[in-house]
Amino acid sequence: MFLTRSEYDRGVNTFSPEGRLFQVEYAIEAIKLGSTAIGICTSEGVVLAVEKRITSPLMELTTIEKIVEVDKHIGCAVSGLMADSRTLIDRARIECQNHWFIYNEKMTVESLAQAVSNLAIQFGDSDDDGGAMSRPFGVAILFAGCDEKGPQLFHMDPSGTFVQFEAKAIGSGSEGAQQSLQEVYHKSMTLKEALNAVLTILKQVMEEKLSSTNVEVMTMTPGQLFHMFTKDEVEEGIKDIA
Amino acid sequence: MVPLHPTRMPRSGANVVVTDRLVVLNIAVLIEVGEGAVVNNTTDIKNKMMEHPNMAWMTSGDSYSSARFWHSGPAPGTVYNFPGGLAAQNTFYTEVPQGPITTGGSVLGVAFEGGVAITADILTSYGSLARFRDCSRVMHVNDNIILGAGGDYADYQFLKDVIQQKILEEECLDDGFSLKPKALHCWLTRVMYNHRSKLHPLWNNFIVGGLQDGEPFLGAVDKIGTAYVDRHIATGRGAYLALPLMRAKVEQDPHMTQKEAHELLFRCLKVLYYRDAQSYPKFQLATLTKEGVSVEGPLMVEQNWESAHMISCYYSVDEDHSLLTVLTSDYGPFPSI
Amino acid sequence: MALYTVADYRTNVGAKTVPFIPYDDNGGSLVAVAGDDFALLASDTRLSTGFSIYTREQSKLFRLSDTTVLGCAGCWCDALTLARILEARMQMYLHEHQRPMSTPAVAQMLSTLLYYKRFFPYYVANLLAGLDEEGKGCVYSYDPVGSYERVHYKASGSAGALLLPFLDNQIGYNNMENVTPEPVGIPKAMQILKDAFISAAERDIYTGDSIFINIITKDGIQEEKFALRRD
Repeated sequence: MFLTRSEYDRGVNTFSPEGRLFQVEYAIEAIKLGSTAIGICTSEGVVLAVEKRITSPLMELTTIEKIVEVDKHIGCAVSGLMADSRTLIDRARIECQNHWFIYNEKMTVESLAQAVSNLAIQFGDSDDDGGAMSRPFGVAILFAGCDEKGPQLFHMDPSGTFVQFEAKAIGSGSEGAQQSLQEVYHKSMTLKEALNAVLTILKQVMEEKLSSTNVEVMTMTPGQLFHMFTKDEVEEGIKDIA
Repeated sequence: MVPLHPTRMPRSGANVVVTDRLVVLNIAVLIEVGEGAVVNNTTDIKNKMMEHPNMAWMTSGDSYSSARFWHSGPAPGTVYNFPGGLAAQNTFYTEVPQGPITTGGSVLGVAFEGGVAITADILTSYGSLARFRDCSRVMHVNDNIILGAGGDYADYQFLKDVIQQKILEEECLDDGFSLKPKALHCWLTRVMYNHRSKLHPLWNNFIVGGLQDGEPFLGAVDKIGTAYVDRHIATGRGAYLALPLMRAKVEQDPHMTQKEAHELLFRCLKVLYYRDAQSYPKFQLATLTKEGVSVEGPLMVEQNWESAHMISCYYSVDEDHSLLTVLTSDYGPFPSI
Repeated sequence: MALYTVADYRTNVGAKTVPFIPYDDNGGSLVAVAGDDFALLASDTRLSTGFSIYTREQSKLFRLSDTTVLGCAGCWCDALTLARILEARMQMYLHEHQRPMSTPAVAQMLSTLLYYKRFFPYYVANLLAGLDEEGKGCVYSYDPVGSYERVHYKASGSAGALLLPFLDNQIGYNNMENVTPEPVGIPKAMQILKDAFISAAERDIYTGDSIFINIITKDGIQEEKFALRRD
């Protein structure tokens, strides 16, 4: 028996004798190199915050977009390979519009997570299902949305697994951040408390100093739906936790 | 799809058209060709044949199969074609949707207490020509289902083969389950509708009868997939001549016995024979009860021409009335023979 | 030439070429009324072709869910097919989204289904009736290629033009003086609906035999039958 990992980690559709798909696991590892993203779901709405890594002082920071709108009622934060995330976000947007086109209603957050995960697991090295990815997507996504079930937060990883969370962190600082989330999260949290919590935790896990230029914040509320924070609003948020 | 069989190929340089169902010596399309244009279509035929999956083994050799069986010549069963011959590209005709060619007439079905009965005469016509006089148009599908067919006889034979194959495959499973009438009715509806949607209809009327969970079932399907269920169904000219009689009977007596149902059908067939020129006195009668299926016949329509002499210009050819030629006219007497 | 001999033979005595028309008009009429907390949908039960009647008891209503009923009249083979596709799509929706489809969602989907057959249309008049997400009665009316609108009441099918002016007057209070329009309740709607069909059966040969009425409320769907003239 070949039990060394290297024997079974080349094909995306080859299980190891222990029943593992190493390429998928490696893809999940790739997320841990990505920038940290945090989401908290409260009864008032969902808040998402992401760090933007400044790798060069000459970078135009506004061109880094890690929180995007999928539909008016769904937004998402991504961590991992950004180019891969574009493909998934494109699909997410198409699925939402297609659902609206056919059914004249908002797509639920869960259905969207399901639809995107269907794309995420379509990897393999066969030629005949053309157009599919030859490797897993190296992206984790936090979907924040408001549908008839109220505000919801879903997490999806490169294996296509999607799970609903009350609070979730992804990316390089996710382990510490998740620990902190467990400590601060409670059911009756307000949106403001959640906002303070995500910024505080982000501040703790980020290597650089938290500022309005290296963080993106978004809220998803039943009233305002997708709302991306302006620079001023972010600054105000940072001031509140100082 | 019916496999295109090499032995059905005309060997000469005849004018032929290959449809996706059959090789047809299609007289109709020749009109499109015009005067003087003789088409030698052997290349087209061969190419069309080779496109068919069942024939592909004759030409295409892939890495998984052995080398070509026959080199530098026509494959067995195909037609020889001289290179550079007149068999040029065909621009002379286009395939047109077909109408019915050899057709069966009315089909009658009626449900009674504990079963159903379907009947149809055994004549098929070629236009107004009474063409074949021994064509069975009722089918014993399985012990749950009987089927009657009108319209194009070739289309019926095609579907009959498909249905029989279905039944055979089901019997091979030997799991105690068998096709039920509602299922066959629904399946036929889909088949007919799908064909009509391709504008390539199966030109038939079907009556499906049987017992579904102990209850009599009688359903109709036509060439475009119109489907309905009733206690009495008549297609073709039977819809005008027989259906009113059936409705009257069922209305006054909703719980017919098998005997009454048969008598009703016989009466309808008689009326059809008297008034529908495309009918025929020999018919088959399929009856299905929980005891099983019987297909009787050919039976003879009971007929009586005793009052015929009262019609002006009626001539009886045979004295014994076994075969009668009846000549009548509403426009005055025929010239004497 | 020989070809002409063949041609003459065919035109004179051979089997005649029958043009194939993939459609049939099988008639049938539909009436739907939406109330505050209910919806009514009725169809006659005559299925005909030309001057003959296929059957006197073919309901043209398809129960799609506990809150949605489709009425479908016109080319019956298209109606059967369309209803089946709708049922299948609703089942797929249920599995994909873990909830039954709402009536407005079915309404939009029906429109797209019809439009995707724009160049080989389903030759049917559709009325979709049911309760919306808020429990209010709703009726959607369609043309064969998917144009649709939500209405309070509607008549469609072979006697649509005969039935609708009557509904306009009795339910829409059009051209009435000295009356205060009030929302219609189930008993009055039922009476108007039956009267409308009785009148339509007098003048339209494709409407008659009987009507099936579906009464959709939050407690479920009730069915009622009512006899019409059969000639």
